Amino acid sequence: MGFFQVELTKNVRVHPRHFHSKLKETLIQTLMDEVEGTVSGRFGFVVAVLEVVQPLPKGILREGWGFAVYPLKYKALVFRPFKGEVLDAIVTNVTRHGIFAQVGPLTIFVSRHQIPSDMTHDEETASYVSVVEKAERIQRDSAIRLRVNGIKIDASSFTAVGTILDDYLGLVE
Amino acid sequence: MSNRSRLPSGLRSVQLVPEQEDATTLQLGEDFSSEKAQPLTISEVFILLSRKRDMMRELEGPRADEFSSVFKKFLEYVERFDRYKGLEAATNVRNLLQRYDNLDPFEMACLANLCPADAEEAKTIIPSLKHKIDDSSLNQLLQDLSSFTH
Repeated sequence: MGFFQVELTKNVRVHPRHFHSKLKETLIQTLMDEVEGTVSGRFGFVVAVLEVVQPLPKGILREGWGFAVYPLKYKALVFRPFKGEVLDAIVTNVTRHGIFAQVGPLTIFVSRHQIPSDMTHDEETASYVSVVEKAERIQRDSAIRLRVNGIKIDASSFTAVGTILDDYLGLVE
Repeated sequence: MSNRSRLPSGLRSVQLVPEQEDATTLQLGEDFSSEKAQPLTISEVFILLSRKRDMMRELEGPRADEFSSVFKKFLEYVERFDRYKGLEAATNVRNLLQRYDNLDPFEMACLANLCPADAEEAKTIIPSLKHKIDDSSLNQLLQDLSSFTH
């Protein structure tokens, strides 16, 4: 449901000035600096490097460059959204067009048409309120349970659209 | 499956996620098949990220709070939605779910994270469960799960 442990590989380049006793630490730190916080369409958000597979491979010297390249295998915690899955998200913005909610750094937009018609937009309080149950109000910082309807990746991140129309979706907590 | 040659030049930088993916039928693609990827519960993620943050804080100097914003935002998220609180509860949940070995690991993580109140809710929000487990076994599992929540 979003979070997975996967094994990935990365070619880490190291300058000869690091060819001493702290090479291993440098390698691991460089890997973390390069991959943590990145996003790809294939694996989603790389949240953290959990473990680098030991023993570390031998470095391959690049001819003419002096750099060594280490093909590191590592276990990573990733977050990858999938169409069709249900997840909880935190509302960050409410407009008459719909609701913006976040799962960590992932923004999911729930359009007005994907919100039950018995909820009306209240401009004054920037919320959606149920006409049946006044206490049921979706506003900034509310938690909502939604289903992901579609996902798109562009140059640097994902965006997603979702729905709270079906049974058991909507306000939680 | 690339549609890039048909897209106008302005759209070529947009990668479309493969159409065949669908969590409701457990089609997660090859990279996330159960052999290659282990789905984690939110509680497990909270434990992993907290440990990492604590380890980083023990290092003195400029690295101590240098987390990516991705890391910080996910840590906040899992802290808010962690239902089981603590290593013992998270482990109990994991052990409980592993006993139902006809369930897919993805379904196990969904059940733990979403905590549906009954079998009907569970099968509605996780449709792939529908013909896999009878309602009374599922209700038992859900009851046991909720006994670990805080």
